[in-house]
Amino acid sequence: MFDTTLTFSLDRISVLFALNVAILGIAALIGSVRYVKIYTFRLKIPYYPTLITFIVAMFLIPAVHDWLSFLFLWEIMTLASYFLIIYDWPEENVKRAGWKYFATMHLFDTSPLMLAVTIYYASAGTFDFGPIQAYKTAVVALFLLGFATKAGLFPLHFWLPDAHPAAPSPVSALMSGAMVELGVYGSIRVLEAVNWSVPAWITWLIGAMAVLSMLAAILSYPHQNDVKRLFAWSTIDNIGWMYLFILAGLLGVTGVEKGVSYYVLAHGLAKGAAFLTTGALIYVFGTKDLEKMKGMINADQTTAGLLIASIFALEGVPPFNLFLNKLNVIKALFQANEWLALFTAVEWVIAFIIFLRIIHAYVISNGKPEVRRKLPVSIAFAVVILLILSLASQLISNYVWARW
Amino acid sequence: MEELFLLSFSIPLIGGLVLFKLDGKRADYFMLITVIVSTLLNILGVYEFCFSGMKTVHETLLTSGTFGEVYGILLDPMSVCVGLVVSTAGLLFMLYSIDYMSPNNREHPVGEGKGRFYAWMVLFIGATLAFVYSSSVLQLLIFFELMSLACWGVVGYYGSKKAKRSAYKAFIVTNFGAMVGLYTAVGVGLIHLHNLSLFAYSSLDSHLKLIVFLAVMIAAFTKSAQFPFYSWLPDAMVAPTPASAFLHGAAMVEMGVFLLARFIQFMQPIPKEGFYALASLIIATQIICILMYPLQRGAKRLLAYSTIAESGLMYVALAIAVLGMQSGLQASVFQLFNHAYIKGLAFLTAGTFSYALGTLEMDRIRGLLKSPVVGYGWTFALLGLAGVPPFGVFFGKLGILSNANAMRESVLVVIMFALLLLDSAVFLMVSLKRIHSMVFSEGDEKVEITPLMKAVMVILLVLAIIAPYIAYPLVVKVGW
Repeated sequence: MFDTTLTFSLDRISVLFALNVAILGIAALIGSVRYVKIYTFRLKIPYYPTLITFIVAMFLIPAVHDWLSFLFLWEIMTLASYFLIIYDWPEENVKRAGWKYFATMHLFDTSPLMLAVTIYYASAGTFDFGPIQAYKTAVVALFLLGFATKAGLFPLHFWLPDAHPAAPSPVSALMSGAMVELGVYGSIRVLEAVNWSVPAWITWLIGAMAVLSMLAAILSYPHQNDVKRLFAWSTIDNIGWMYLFILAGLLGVTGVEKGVSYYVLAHGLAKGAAFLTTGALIYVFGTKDLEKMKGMINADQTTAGLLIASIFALEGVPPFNLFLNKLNVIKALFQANEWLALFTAVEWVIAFIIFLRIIHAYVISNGKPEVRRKLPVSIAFAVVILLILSLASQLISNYVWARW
Repeated sequence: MEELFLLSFSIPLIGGLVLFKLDGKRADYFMLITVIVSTLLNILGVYEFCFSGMKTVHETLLTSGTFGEVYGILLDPMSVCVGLVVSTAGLLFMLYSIDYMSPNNREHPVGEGKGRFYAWMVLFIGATLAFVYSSSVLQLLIFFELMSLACWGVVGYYGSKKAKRSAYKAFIVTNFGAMVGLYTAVGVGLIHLHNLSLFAYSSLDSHLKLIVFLAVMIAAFTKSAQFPFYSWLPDAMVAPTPASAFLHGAAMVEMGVFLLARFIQFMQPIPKEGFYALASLIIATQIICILMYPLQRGAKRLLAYSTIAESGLMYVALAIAVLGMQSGLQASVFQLFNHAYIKGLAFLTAGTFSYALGTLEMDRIRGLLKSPVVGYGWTFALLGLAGVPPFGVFFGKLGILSNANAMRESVLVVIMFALLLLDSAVFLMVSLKRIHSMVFSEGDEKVEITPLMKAVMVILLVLAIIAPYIAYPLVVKVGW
């Protein structure tokens, strides 16, 4: 009934995804040590066992080569992330976010994936990865629907800006920097199984969803007061970029898998740094509300400096390596469709301007928020490590890619 | 090996009768010895069966000239697998009931008369096991009725007016099923085959096969509480909770599925009309459950609808088997096995609410996290029932869906699959709301339960996770 062979091995694409999970996982664990002290209520959900389950499941997902284990680990990842999202359960809105997350996942992620996997199994006779032949369009569409939900691609992004602020910051870092990217990983695996040829409507649907994700993000940035919601929208934005990269692949550009894997590592490191910094803000100022942190540079220079650096890393300002990757997306899109390339370039600039204004409005402005606690070394260390690595992500990726 | 299985159901059948005369501590010990011995013999039997290559063993114990085979024992991967779950789950539920049926129970304090409850339950276990290993249709009929009788006994146990009414309802509905279904099957066997052995039924012509199939389907639906015979099951919730757990998790409801599976196994191929009848009623059941989940206030009633839906899934797999796919039969037994322990856990957790809090109203229960075993037991049981791994039901559902080829045969299969996924999503949404309000919330009362009850719940949780790995080797051998 379940014919499958469980093997663990990493190829060049999956090794970068796994590396991303591993680095962020270690950073999140370091960042958690002092951070979880802010939760003072009794009766907590066991934090570290759940977090480690979450990390291990995500680490193994790129390593397996059959859909049965993939799905099993995928669901363990969803379950663990749900418990981490509702970690701060005495807050009503945290539970609401958790409900929204898990319900959305079960309906739009688990269900289509289960159907896709079983249809594939019924015709292939095995769960092992292989070319998708029977009912190609249906299977691919179901797979991509499931993965797009996990990745938070518009219009299936709605759970994301609620779930990320609800979770403890190191968990948000993992969810944004590693979990949603696994949706991209799944998409790549499925598209490889059909040799990057899908019906035109799927291609353009992906394109439209990606473009709309980026537009939605641009339109939402200026309205965010919650610093974690702000970065959650940035994730939706970047997922749009990654899917546009995939779109380029569907339009005939080669070498997209490599580019996306590089992008994921660069973005993951920057996003991890950004969310861990929000953890630092919550720890130091006791709030997520940007209004209440106005002029934070006057109160705590280190924390403010880390925030500025993370934003630069995230918006692809050189020398941070996300710059090279964003450039790479635009280059690939130029080969496929100039208008899309132009759109991406303009979007990049607008997003950068918005974030610059945010820095001016909240970080280097007048005012002096009250410092509740001193910034712990462990959180600062985790952020700095991620920032340093995101200065060298291209180097690391090249090193791994060339020698694996 | 046959003797082991024979003893495993004879001992409880006889022990049950003795228990009517006992009470108090003596009843506890006698019941424990009976059930533990029976379970151990059963496990030993399963062990021997697996190591002798899982070959089908059919032994005729009583034959007559006009009736053919009257009494026999049939051991094949299907009956052994189902028997194992009945036996082990039964033991765990009985262990739990030692502490549950006590004066400390806040909703239903029990001082005297424990023996009567044990007697009905042990008889129930014996009758169910005897039913599972039956090889003739007459035997199926007798133990089917005996199960209904035992069910009447446990549902009416508390003796209130409502309990008595529900007990009669459960008895009459299932008895109606037996009359329509199994009497027809026996009649056809007598008149046309002159043999009541299950093996003989394969030689019926397709017209008679369809009649027998539809009749047995009605019998099975009454037992499994499928549309239109479902309403007795939510009412039967007045039974003591360990009995509900057994009724839902491992016995009554599942035996309907087993009965139909047996007839499909021995009568295939079955005319396609049978598929249409089965599939359309199951679709109705699934839709009713999806609509009913959000309306439930009582913890046990929510679980009752979940049972109806989960056993509906076993019938989805059987419908696929009717289409001629052997893997449908396997998926059905697999789902039965995986569902049993997690449903047992869900009921026993609900039992702790009535034991310690004196209520099953979900709106009034808060702050379960204070007692982690109960809080997480309830959380994991509901999530597991919704089909979230690592719990077995996930694999059960995946096993059913893996017959995706059947979607080519009929659009009804597509609808059933879609409803399967929708059902688990709706159940998850409702459950999460309940988990958030009941477990992860502030409350003042602490759920105090005994160590034995806690231990049983933890064992059930572990079994719910490892169930698919136990069942898989047996299940893949199921077939015709």
